[in-house]
Amino acid sequence: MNPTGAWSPELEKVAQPVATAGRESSLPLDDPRVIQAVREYLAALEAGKKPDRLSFLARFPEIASPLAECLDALEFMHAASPFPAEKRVSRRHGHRPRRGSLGRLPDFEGNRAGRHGRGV
Amino acid sequence: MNRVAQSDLKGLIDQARGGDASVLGKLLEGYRNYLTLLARLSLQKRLQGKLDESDLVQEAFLEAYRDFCQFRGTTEKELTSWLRKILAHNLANVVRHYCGTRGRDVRLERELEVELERSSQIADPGLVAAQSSPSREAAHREQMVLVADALSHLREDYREVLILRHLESLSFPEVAKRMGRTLSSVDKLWVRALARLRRVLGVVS
Repeated sequence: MNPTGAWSPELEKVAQPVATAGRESSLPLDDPRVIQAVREYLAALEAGKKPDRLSFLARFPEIASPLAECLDALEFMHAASPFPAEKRVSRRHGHRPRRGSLGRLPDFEGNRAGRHGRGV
Repeated sequence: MNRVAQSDLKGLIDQARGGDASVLGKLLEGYRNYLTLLARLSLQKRLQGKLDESDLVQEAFLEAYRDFCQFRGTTEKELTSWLRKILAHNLANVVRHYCGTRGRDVRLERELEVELERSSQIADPGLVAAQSSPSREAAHREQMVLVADALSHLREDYREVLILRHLESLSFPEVAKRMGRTLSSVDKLWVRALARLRRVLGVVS
């Protein structure tokens, strides 16, 4: 483990690209089919769908292994996105939230947790 | 992993409350990546990245260190919430400094707290819980803490493409423009970054 939490060459070695990490993943990650498939999966997630992983991978048997690893991370990052599907749709249709407009806020004056009010 | 196990957290908090400065330092340091990521997202949104988030985070850490006696929680959720409040306070000061009229709005600090909290929340916990093994692990922790730690282990261009596409929610053409790359190059970089992240998650988790 890296005690500093920073990127390190050692971690990079551990995290070799799927394409070179083992015999089962012999295709390069920049194979257009991998890119296209990952893009397609992302589009489904962003449309609010939850694709069936096994069915999806079954469509791409030749690239299933590297694709599966990309999808793990893709789901992880998508889940962390501050703009889930329904909000992305509204942005595309010109209803992008005003900067700083984050929905209804509680009464600020009555609940302010300032420098001296940080106790949990 | 640079963070303490959840099961050890309460013990560390108790030790830190008891005045063990080195434990407090270790405890807070485990959330540096998290606060840095939240600060970056907020600064990018409000100030278009005119300010370095690391200075803000360092200031937040100093205040957390100084005011730790005010923290009364025992869980990671409570600790991250407390740290976000400190960060929101400092962010509000910076935004007020840079943004004139809008910055004088008294709701700003609370608004930033809400914004940081939202950035911390997973958009789709069901998806995380149902699928990949690192994601299942993540479901039991503060998701954005884990995301921030994992991203910190990636090289800069990988980290950047994932943050821009997934956390700043830019389109691929926007990402390409921001990074000064072609769309095709961004596609390849993105997929490689995802594959690398998957490996890092296996290590970090």
